[in-house]
Amino acid sequence: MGKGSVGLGLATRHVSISNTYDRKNRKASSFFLGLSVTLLLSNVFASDLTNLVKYRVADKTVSISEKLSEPVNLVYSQFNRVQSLWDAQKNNEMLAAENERLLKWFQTANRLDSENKALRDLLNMKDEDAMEFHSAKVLSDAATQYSHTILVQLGQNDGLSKGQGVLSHEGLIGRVIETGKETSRVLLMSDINSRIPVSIEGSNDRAILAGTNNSDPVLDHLPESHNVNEGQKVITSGHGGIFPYGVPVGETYKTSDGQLAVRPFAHPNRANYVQIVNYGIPAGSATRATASTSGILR
Amino acid sequence: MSFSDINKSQPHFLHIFPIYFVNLLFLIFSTRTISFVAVENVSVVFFLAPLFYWTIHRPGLMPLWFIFLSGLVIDFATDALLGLHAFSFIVFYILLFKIRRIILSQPLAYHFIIYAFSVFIFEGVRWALVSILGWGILPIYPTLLGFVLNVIAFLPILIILKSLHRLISGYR
Repeated sequence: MGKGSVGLGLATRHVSISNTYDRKNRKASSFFLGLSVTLLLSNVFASDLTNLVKYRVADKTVSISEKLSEPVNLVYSQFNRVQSLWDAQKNNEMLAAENERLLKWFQTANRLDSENKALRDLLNMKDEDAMEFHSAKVLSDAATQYSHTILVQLGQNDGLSKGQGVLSHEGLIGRVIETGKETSRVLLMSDINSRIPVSIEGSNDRAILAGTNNSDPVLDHLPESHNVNEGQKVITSGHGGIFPYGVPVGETYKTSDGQLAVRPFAHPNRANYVQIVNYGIPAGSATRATASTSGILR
Repeated sequence: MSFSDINKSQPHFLHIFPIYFVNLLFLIFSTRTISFVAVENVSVVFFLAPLFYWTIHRPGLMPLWFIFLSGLVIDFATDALLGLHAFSFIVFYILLFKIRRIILSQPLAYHFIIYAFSVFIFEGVRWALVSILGWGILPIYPTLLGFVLNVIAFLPILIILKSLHRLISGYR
């Protein structure tokens, strides 16, 4: 047999293998496409079941995902280390200024605390700050284009329930929206479905802090004759049964299109640990059904 | 060369392993959020670059079950709609697989343009699905930003993938 016929034979075999592969591939593509469409529809038509599966999977795979993320975490931590070294001088100056400011606040807080206690004693008021704190490790930061949530390593077994507030050392972050046995999902206040009743210090105007999924949350439903300006402190108003009055949220500023937005004090991306706070508000009143980006009623 | 030579030359596991390891790393990176000065809360789907590259050069290295499972991993890790990334990845794969032979013979710049176009479709599918199933139009800016970052990330990833490809070059 000549060289030419061997070459032709090989080419024919190549085409035949390739066609078989394409045929098999087409069948597999249709199968997996159908499967993923079914899963997508299950978010709408069987949202409870989908949610349950998601939180069961999160519970069961916590340790595995932590181990798998280690190399990636290492890269991120090295990157952060280089970045912090780069900013060392600037950070030092900023921390010195902050320290000075905090010392002044410390003295003011001490004075106000004594004054508060004295006034409470005078009025014979019951102590209503029955708060319960849980510190939780942030397992995954899922603040993406479509969903701003984080997963924390505490769940129902640790006494967490839907609606509890979540704080970092800097301020309010969001609230618990789902609890598994060992993990819980926290809806960040920047999520498009987050709505927090707030009050603006100084003007006492009330508004709804609405997440945009884009950048900082904005102030919605402000009264037409409001007196809110840039740089005012925003705190929770205590309405809606989720947070008590006075939890610090952020500072107001005007966006380029003139809308009032809030620059949060807390940055969830920087938090490795968060505090879950049970303000003693019944869970039923703390929950609110909202259509999430995942299409699931939360 | 005889017919049996075709089946003999399969790459060794040690040659394949780094490829799967790097794919896995890109998959884990895809579940993380990027946050720096101008960009906050944008997830770049780094996994798209290896998916594009291997679908075109070595589709056998990216079996559909692996693509589907990778999508599900991102769905679970990022609290996205269940099936969102699995579906988007499969669509991305089907589109590329259909035209892979045409792309293969083209220069690198052409690959880059096709990649950018495919990512645009991928991001569009994601955005449309989340908007439709979430009953609300989501802002487009973060999606566009995600698209731009994905395209920028392609070139450095391509260098890694090309060097990995050398490990198995010569094998079927």
